[in-house]
Amino acid sequence: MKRWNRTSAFFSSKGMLLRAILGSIVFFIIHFLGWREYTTILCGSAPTGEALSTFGIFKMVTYVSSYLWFWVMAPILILTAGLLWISNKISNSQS
Amino acid sequence: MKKIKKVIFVFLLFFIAGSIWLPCLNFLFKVDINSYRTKEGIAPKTQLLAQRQMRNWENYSKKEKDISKMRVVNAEWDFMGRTFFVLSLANMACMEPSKTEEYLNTIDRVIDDTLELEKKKGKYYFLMDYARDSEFLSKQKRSIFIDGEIALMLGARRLLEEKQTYKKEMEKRITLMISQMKQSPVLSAESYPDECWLFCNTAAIASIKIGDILGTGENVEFINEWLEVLKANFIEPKTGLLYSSYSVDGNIYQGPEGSSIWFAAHCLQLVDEVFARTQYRLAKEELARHVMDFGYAKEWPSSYKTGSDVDSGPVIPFLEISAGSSGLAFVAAGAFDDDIYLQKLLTAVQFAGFPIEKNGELKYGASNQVGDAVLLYGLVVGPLWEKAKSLEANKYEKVE
Repeated sequence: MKRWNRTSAFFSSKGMLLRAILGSIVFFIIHFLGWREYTTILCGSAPTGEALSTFGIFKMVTYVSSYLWFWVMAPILILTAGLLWISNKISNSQS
Repeated sequence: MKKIKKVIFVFLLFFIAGSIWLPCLNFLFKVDINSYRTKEGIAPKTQLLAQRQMRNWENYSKKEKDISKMRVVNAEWDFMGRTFFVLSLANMACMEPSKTEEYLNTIDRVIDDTLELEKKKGKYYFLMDYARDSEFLSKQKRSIFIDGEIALMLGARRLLEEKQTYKKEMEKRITLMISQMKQSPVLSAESYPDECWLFCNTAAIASIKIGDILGTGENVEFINEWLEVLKANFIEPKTGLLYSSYSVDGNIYQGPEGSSIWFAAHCLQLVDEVFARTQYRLAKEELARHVMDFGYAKEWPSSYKTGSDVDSGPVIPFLEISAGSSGLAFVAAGAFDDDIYLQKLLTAVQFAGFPIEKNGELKYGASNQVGDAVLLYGLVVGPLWEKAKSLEANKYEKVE
């Protein structure tokens, strides 16, 4: 548990990397479950032709969030993790 | 203190990482415009987009599912989806003459289905519910939204190949529309009770023009008069753009908006190319925007804010991205051969439109049938209007 807390601390390289990967896994799972179809709710249409359901809206919000996470947030987190790792290496070698 | 310093440092790195990544995102989604629009024929991706809609019209249950998705929200979308699809197919037939028969079959299926629904379910079937709130002011009590677009579909079909039943139907609608427009001091007819929309009136004028090209040309004077009235009364002074809606008497309801002006400029190409091009240029200045080459369109000019309506679609705050305006910007960019803007719009759609490609078909997840039909039209638009213009030119040559 302590190890988990340490590695997943948000402001560490490992923590950021872990979050980027976990978010991407979620994206892949819901993408293969076909939740992309629910993005039609964005233009106000219901994917089934019936009135919009709360679960449908949940699927759309989850898909769009994880999509943005995968394409926007995860790469930034990975790059930040890389930059942080480099800066740690440099400061360690100097000290 | 050390922790705070670390947090600030990480945020700084996060900002640097974002500055590196975000401009790269555009390159990942940038599309090759030749995959979507070519001068030589129908581009591969566009073929897939068309394929889906054509297959849906062959399969009753698929078509009904697609349409019912939209009718839950807006009955107009069902109708406009038909118009844009028919116009797309007519352009595609001009690009691929060997497949004209196939396209004509689908066009006729859409037109017949639309006419039958209108006959069976009445004029309100394709209108939003508020149309019932009051009476149309014109004697005919008809909507030019319906008559104009049906006449446009019939005209597009007849430009490919004459069909007598459609000729009669089109001529009947044109007579009705002109009579209705002449009842208004500003020569505009109602789309909804005492609501004249630029979108619908320009579509009607385009159909009247096509009727003239295919017929005897008896409405030339009316079209010219209509243009004069439009230019004299409905240009918003700050932007130079046309107003979107007004009363039968010409009182302005709504200022310029993207969901009207892009398509209106395209329709005006048939009657006044120079004026149409000016409207497109001004609309682009006022409404077209891009962030890192992701193109989009605003619904309203910065200098003229007006109320939101269902045609505007969802508008994302701050950047003021409008789904309705961005979709129709495709049509205008295609119609005015603005490949640079079209590519930017396509790049945005590739990222935020959630394309779904399977079984040799393409659709956009964040869109619906009308959205996909509008995109399709933006990617094939051009040859039909060219054909109309060349027929008109030939006609005058013969007269001279």
